Amino acid sequence: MARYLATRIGLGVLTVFGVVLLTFVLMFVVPGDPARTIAGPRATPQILALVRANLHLNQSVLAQLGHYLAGIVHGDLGVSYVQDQPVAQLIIDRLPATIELGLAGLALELILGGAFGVWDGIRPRRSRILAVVNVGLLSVPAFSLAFVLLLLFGYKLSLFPIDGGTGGTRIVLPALTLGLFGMPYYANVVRDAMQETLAAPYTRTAVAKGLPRRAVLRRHVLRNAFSPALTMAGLDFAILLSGVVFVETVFGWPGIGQLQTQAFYNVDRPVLMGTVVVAAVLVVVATLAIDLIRMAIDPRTRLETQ
Amino acid sequence: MAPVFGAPDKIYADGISPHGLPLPFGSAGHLFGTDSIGRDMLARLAYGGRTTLEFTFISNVTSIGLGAVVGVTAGFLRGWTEMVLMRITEIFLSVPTVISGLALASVVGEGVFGVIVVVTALYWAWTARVVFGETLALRRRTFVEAAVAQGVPSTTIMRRHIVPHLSSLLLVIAALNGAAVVAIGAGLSYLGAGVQPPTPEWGAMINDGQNALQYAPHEVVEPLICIVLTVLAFVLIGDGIARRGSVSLRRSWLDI
Amino acid sequence: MSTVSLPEAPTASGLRVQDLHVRYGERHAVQGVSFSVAPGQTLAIVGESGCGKSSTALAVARLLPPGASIEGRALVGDLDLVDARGRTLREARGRVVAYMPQDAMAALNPVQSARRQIAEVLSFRQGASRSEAAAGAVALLAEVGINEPESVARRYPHELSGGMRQRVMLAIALAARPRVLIADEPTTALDVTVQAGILSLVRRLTRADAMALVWITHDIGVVAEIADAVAVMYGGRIVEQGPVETIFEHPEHPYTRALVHAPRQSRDALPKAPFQAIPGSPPLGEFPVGCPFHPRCEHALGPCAQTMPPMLERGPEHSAACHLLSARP
Repeated sequence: MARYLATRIGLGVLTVFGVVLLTFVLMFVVPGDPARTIAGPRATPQILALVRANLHLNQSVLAQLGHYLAGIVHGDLGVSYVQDQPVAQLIIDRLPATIELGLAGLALELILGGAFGVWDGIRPRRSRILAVVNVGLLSVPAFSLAFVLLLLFGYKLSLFPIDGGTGGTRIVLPALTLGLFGMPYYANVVRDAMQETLAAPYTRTAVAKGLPRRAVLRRHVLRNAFSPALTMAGLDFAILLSGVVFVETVFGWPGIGQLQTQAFYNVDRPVLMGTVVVAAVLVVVATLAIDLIRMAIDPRTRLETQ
Repeated sequence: MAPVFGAPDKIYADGISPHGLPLPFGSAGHLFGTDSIGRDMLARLAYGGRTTLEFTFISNVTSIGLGAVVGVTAGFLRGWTEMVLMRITEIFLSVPTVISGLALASVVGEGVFGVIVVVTALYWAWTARVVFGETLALRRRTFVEAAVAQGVPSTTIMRRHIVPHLSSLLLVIAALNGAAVVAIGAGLSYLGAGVQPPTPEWGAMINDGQNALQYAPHEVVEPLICIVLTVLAFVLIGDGIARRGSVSLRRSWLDI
Repeated sequence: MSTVSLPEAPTASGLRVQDLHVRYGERHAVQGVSFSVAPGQTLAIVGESGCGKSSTALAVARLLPPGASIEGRALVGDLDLVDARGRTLREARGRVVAYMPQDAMAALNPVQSARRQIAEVLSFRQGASRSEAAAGAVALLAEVGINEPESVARRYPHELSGGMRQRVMLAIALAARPRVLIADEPTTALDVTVQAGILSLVRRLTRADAMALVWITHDIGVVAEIADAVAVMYGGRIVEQGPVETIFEHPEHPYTRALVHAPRQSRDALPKAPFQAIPGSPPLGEFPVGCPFHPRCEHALGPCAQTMPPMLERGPEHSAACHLLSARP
């Protein structure tokens, strides 16, 4: 178990390192002179040289990479070219909002998808309604869905404030967008798992014990059917975060998605890069956490750890 | 076909109402209305469709091609090749596409070409993961093992025995990947990191129109519907291929 | 906790099956099977795969898959298991009739400990409290011959050996003290020594509790070890039944003779093929007209291909269905 954890953490670190390396190479080949962006068009050559030295831009690529990596270990992601602040600070300021929205979205997609999947899984026939809802929702990209909800509940019905920012019921529409966006995937997985579980010999054993129907469902079917949904949540956490970026932009939710979009407009390389790195860390950590939860409720998965 | 719908960039003098507002859906002469500067929505939507099909088709081919090559190679050769290739795949899968897409777009530039590069760079890994799993399964089949035992060169086995058996899977991937590409292309353009104005593109049109949401919702709703219908088409195709021949049999021990 | 009183099966009631039919849509898998088992006695139903023995077992246990239909009667005291519906059926499960399947690994819930899976029978069916049920589960594990019941109770199915899993299944089956136990080849997948241990355990426990035991098997060797009486099935029917000594010493049906006289194979080499000595293979799907065995029977006569021979009395509690027997005195 400890060894398995160590391996998983090691691989996670490796993944993050890979992301840093790739992003760094990418950013390094970009044409243009960041020093000029920062110092402005009228800067003297002396000032430009000073800025370059500060950013280590006058050093070799490898030395720059070394600086960057050493910084990351100390929680330093460099300084924003545009806002005169450390990137790490900018991200930390925005992170709670993103995590709040991400978790709310994850919970909603699991609950909605789980409920629909269970409902459809128990029925003797595949539900037409769910099939239509599924295909319908699969066809609406996250940012489009955000607009649909914004138009419907924000403008037409005025049920929720749409003035941007966090607090109060402002989270409802963004979280609902994420929940509806992810729902069909989870509904499908849970539905298939339900059918598999209902047809499994151990369910027959539970029936043969003379347990009430509800007890068979609750104690034997549901718990086993949710394990694959959790596996998927682990695999698809990156997709969820992608959705978060769009949703943040549409609803004006001040998270790292918005930060990244602004950084894109400003060609603010350290922020762009720092966000990618932090997002990778988030995904790696979330995947590991979901895996641990899955191991806690499904002892079969503990086999993998040996 | 697009030229039938008129010029997408032409600013019509009659495209703005006397009150300075865009024409709504159903206006005479501009059936789908006009946008905030008086351009014909129908023409822009039609050209936007062409743009979407362009980047979707090309980046679908490139990303699936790259992903299939990586997946088959890793799954067939195993060993070190697998280790390295699948770790790289994992790295690409662990960054949310939009976040890395924005970073990537700031380097490769915007426009249709930028979208194609970004989408290819970000989506090949999904195909690679699926194809890798399928190749592992195929590798254990007798006809592949027989070919390996006879000393047939690896490249020949992959080409002759593995890839043909992946064709229906790749078709499903093409449809579902296509749906994702339409969505992410429009999404990036909406964020300003994809196709740039004045080139007509649905996501960019939503971006243009979102400030007029209160008084001219058709500027957002129309491209939105176009995106949804296009993604829907891809999803339905994928669903159809995936379901072909598979009959789901339901048995529940709760019903005995 | 049960409020509905079911026609309570008397403590010693045994099982009487009369003219049992099982159909899977068009397929008529069991075609009028009758037998009875006295309390504390063991009936072995023996036959090749596809002969209808497992369908018979599942029908009596009321565990046929949805879509299958049953006709006939399976009486335990006044209760007809074939007729039981809803609440009556649920109350009968585990308490009147219990079932032990072949594949214990699949039949145990992979994500629950042995204790939980046994204890839930006690808490739901006997109204035991949480701690009573947990203690009862451990006691049951000890009863089925597990050495360290406390430690085994905490384990999950994948952490148990094949023999232990089957013992856990037995503990589940016995937890509500059923009147009838249907054992559907529960030892087939186990190696010989483990199998022998479980055979004698089940025998001992069912006899001590005056349970009627129906043991399904394709292994004539197992029959000799466990049974009081034997029913030989072929093509969806019982072709011969009688006391175990009679069947082994004076088999009357050509199929039974072939079974009994077939040289015993090394079970390790051919665990699933004890019928190698009979040429041909048993019918799958459609059964032939007339005697189902006639295509493989070396003594087959004209009538064998036309009519099903009736069951003929051949001695005390011994009967067989073969045209050759009506031709001879």
